[in-house]
Amino acid sequence: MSTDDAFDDAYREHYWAVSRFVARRLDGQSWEVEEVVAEVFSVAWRRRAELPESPLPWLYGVARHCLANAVRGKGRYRRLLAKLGHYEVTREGRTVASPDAERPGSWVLEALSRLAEADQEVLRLTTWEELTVEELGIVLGCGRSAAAMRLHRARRRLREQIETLRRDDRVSVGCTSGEGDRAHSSDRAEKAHKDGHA
Amino acid sequence: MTDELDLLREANPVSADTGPWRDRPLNARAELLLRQLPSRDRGRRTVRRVVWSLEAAAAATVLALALTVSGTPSSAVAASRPLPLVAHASRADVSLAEIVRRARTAAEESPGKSERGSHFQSWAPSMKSGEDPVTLPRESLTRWNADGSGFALEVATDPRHPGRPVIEDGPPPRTVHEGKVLSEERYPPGINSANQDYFEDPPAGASALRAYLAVWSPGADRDPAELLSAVQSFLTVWTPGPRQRADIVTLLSGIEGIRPAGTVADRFGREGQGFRFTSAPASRYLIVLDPDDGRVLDIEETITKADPEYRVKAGDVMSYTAYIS
Repeated sequence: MSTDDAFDDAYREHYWAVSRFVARRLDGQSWEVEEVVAEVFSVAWRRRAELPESPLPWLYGVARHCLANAVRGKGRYRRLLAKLGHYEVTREGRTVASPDAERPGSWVLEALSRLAEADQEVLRLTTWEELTVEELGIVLGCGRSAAAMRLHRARRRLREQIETLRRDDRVSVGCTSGEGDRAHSSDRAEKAHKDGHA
Repeated sequence: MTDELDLLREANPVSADTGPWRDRPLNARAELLLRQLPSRDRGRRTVRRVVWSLEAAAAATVLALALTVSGTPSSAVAASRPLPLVAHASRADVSLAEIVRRARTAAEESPGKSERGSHFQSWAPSMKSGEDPVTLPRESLTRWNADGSGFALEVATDPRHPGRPVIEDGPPPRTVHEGKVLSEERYPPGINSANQDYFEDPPAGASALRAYLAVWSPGADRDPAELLSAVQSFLTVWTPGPRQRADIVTLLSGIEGIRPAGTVADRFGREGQGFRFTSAPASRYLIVLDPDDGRVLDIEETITKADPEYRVKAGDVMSYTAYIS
């Protein structure tokens, strides 16, 4: 198979996964996501000679750089990353108002947003992009053991933040129910929204 | 207690199962992006210098054109009447017979099938009696899936002027932003292009192909101009594989009166081998072929006699199609 054919296959197989990767990290409209995704594949096309046998982690690595450039150029990078943890709660209260009151999204995202960006990214890649530790190393540009260590530390810090939130709010993560809890969550959502714009 | 990673997985804000970024076959926009990736089309023989000179010359007509389009600053208008492509004869020219031979060899080495669907850029003038013609550039992409579903997408673009507004057809013509979707059709499974010309698979062999083309373009089996016109429209429906490419170039080589024109750099900067054919009453065709495998890159039609009523003069481009895939 030629390099061009391999690129075509990778594009067809992973276009939507790369789109989701960008959408999860870009607080933007669909067209903004498409714009960054187009840039990701343009860069990948220019570098197609480097395309590995399992291209998805490599494409995520390209996407990270493109995403950073795209939002940094507008002076929004830090702000957007800070807001990322509040993605759901700032989107019309989607999570909090969900009929599924047991969904812990807002809690976890709030806990995630309290971590350093490097920790957040390790956790996002592991859970949302479902990468193995080896693949994590490829995206982050480090070895397997370093990636495993970073994930281990990030998990511990996330756990600590979840415990802190639990103590502060006196609500069991994963066991919220009833109007009172929803009201609590709404308050948090509003606070998170403000924090995100701070 | 639930694992913190499980909690985070559940909080995934962008699902692979629902929403705009869910897993599914590529949509029209994604297909278009794949086809438009930079330097996808034969960058190794790009001759930018020639394209720039074409653009510079074309710029002179922009002002005149803009006056026909309401409310548009002249400097921002992308579309202008394309100048005819220029062919340069040289010792390195490849004969049509040699291109046929190469195409046959390529087909023997890799006898891939033709693919239903096409990707091309076209220009055509909108002409009204007593008014200057307005050139309407557009890019068209049609794709079909194995289940017979498909889509046809038409976008306003002019590769000579990326990023600038493009003129769209309509009463009266007006400028639209580059990339505007002019039309987008989606076809459910089972349609399989049945509503298009050339919906049957093309046969193998030059004579069989000529007869096939004549089914939809009567006269293609007798009149060279009709044959060229049939090839032009066939290529907007099908992307030929190596065998079909060889058959097409074989048919072209059999046209009486077709003459070598020289090397041509087209409007995408691709370099090909040009061949001219003049037909009554007033048309001249320039067919640009890839000298390596016989692929048709461009077909341009110019007028050989002025027509004052429509304000066209001898040598003006009347239609132009550049085949991208």
